[in-house]
Amino acid sequence: MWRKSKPYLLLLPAAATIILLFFGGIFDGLLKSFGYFPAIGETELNLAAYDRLLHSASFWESMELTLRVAALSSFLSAVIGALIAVALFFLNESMKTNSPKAWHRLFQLPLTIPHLVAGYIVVLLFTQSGFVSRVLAAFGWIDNITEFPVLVNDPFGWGIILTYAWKEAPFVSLMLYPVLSRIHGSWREVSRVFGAGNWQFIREIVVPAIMPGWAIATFIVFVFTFSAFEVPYLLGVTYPSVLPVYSYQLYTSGTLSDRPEALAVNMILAAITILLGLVAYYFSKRWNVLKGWG
Amino acid sequence: MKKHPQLLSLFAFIALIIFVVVPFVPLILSSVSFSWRWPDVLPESWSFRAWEYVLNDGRTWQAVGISLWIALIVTAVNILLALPAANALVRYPVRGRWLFEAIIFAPIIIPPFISVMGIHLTFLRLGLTETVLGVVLAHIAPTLPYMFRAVMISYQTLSADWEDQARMLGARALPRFFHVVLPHLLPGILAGASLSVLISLSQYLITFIIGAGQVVTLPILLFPFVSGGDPGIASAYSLLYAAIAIAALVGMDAALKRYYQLNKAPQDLAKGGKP
Amino acid sequence: MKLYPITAIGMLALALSACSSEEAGSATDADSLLTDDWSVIQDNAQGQEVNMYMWGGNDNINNYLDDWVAPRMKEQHGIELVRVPMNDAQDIINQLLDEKTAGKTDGSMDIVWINGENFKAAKDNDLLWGDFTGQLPNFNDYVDADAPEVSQDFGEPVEGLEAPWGKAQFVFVHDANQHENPPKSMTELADWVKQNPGQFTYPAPPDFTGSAFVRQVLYETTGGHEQYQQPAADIEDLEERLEPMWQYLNSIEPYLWREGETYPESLAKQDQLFASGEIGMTMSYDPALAASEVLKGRFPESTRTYLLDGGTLANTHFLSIPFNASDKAGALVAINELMSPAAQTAKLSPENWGDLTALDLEKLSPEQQQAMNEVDLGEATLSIEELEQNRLPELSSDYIDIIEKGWTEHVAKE
Repeated sequence: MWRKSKPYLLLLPAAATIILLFFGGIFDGLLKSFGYFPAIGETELNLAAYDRLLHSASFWESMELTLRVAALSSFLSAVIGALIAVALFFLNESMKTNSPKAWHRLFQLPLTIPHLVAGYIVVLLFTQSGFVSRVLAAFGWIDNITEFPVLVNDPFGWGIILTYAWKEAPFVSLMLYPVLSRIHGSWREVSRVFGAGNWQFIREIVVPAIMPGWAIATFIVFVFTFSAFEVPYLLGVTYPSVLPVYSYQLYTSGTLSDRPEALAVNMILAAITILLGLVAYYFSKRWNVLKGWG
Repeated sequence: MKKHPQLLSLFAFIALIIFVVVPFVPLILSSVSFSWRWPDVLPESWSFRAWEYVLNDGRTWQAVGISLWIALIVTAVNILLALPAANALVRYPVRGRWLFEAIIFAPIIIPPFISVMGIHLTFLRLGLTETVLGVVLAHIAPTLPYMFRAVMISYQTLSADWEDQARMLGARALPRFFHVVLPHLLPGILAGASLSVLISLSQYLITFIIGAGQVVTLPILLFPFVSGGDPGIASAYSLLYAAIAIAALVGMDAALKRYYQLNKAPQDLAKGGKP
Repeated sequence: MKLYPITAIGMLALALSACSSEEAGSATDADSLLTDDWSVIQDNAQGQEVNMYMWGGNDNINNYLDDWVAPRMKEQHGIELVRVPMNDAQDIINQLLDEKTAGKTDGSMDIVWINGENFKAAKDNDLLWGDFTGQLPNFNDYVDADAPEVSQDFGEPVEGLEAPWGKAQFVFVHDANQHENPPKSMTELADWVKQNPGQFTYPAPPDFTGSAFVRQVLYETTGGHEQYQQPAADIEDLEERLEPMWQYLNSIEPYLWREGETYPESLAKQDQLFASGEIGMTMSYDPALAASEVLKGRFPESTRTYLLDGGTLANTHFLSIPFNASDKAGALVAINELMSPAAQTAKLSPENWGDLTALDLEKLSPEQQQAMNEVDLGEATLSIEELEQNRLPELSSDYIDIIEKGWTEHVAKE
């Protein structure tokens, strides 16, 4: 009996903690999103909040913005991340004697910077009177502040996208670099034996090899940016706002009657992220990318 | 690649420096500037006013202390929860393992503020809001999966033979754990702890909802400044905040290195990545 | 191995109990404090820890409370004043709303700093304690309780639920070296703008200051503020009444900065334009802000502020006590102290904060008046008397909504 139940007992504390603290909260939110709110005398379940939400223009604008920001952030992170990985690779080539580790640490620096700080860095860099605009002015490329585009607190979401590109690109490179250094050994061999050009090698060996990891890393960035709060809260505009901020605005609107809608936004977000998570999990299993994830 | 490796890597080097280091320049300048009007690239004059405010305010150090305290408790709780769970999943046949994995890994995918907004009123009724305990409980879900994953990788490389050997030599459960299992897992635990500390340190929203102004961590103190407050002070706080996150990581890393040096163990495993 | 779960749970409990500190405050029925003698209140306040929830993004304000107010509070009244930094007053209201819903009676917020919309939301949801201002000696002695800026908060009757702490007033900012005679009315402004094309603009509403500028235009172009003292819904021909305002704004638009094709999105952006000399004028709802910008080296030394001849908008910010404050006696004493002539005089100084006093100057003793008048507000700031004599009351928030939406329709899009 003990033998059989032992692993379950060992799993119990962790699983119970997550169920209680995490799924409990989600369930609590789910009930309230159905209008079950005994504290204000509402005990009937209904879909009114979802109905209002799905018929409101601001929800759909928010959804559109969220998708756009997440898509562009992950795309930029993917491109920059790949460039960093390749750049690190070349650096390693030319500096064989030095320990490459320190360099790698340095280039992962943005990963360790808290999101709020990263967001503020983007504020200082890219506001109309920011550092980049000053540098451009010093080179004489712009003559006054307004020639610099509005990139922070802009309705399109550029500030948010730039922050994520900076912060998540090193994550993408972290996932790619090991693959690159694995095929690196065969690189010379192949070119020596077959005289194959670099370009051909890149197209036929490198790209297929890094593709799965690249896709999954990009996808993880997408899921993360889709549901993150701090950076859009700091760098977005009041309207339209990304879904997590939209939910928070409803949640703190000052009237309890907006709460079910706020929680309904949360539930929709949760459903989408679970779906995205399952897709990522499926492909990573299939391509065998995330070793150690189970 | 054969022709201009030197040039190419120089170019790569410069690009990387611009990407990683240059963004910190305006942050540093803004924290020590007095008058910094557009289009000056460098401030006209300098002042340590912002740093004086940040470093002399007792609240700053209180917030640093509370942030680290919460991160440490969260990490300690995570270790205690993750060790047995990872052990069970790696070394026992568990029916429905996908379910357990799905449960424990769920907070990586579903953003934790969703759960916290839902549970908020319940916490309020239980008297858990405005307390460090409440904030610790809120931080467990987003951090535990990373600890769990790191420990799981370590367990996967721990051969059951070693433990069996120790058992046959007559070692009892507890000494066996402390002398054989734990040393092997330590690198993984440290890797998980780094992530756990880092993630706990960077929480704003859930700390704010549950801490409700009474649990003032660094991000809570920082936020009013970065969202439209004094730029100099916002910059100084941002630098301090980033420095503490990095210091926590470097500290863990140094501990790990020291451990390797002391033990000269051949392990080269269990280092998890992080999104 | 079997010890695992047990030790884990044990350690968990240990770790958790180690950090669950204090928090057992007693919430005695404090409503008698609304009628008690002041000396009883003072006795009760001794040794209380008073938490003051307020926006925490300005170092001057923070320093004023931490370094000037808190030590005096401790010394003179035995009260520990703890400033709790918040990002937004709306978060304060929201938190109180939750505490009310959950039935929390021993709240941590003892004093909250609010006004306008937030006050209205708090009042509508019964989140404030009660009619307490009559209990405060300094309120009774130094405040003109019937003055509209004290009895109303953005059109909402205050009813003693909050005590005035300070005032703000709309001012225009210009560089005296560049333009000697700035326009003192909207008619003059229209002329000035035509003579100095590209030199004027205002932040696009819903920016707080830009929206206030549009209200200022409303008062001057549609026949005064008196007509708007009733709720917006009660004015049937509101659309028509607003028409001259839109016409005015559109008539100056071609002469604005960048020909009015775009407006600065925030006051901060507009101030940048002014600082770099690109435009000749800016504006502020804080009459002392220009002086502090000069001190910080951002605005030129010759920066000055001025009012319109017909007066400018003014509002008051208030301190209130939530329904579930645990230390109400301490909160009363602390608010009273914050309203004392000494504290208000210190608050007026730009070195501390530069916020206008909520007190009625005429009710102060000659010495107190003198002390206040002697505060060096900086060359850019107008005298208190001049500001006082040119105040116009604010509109209630339902108008503000209509005006901000209307601006997008009538001005930005056309």
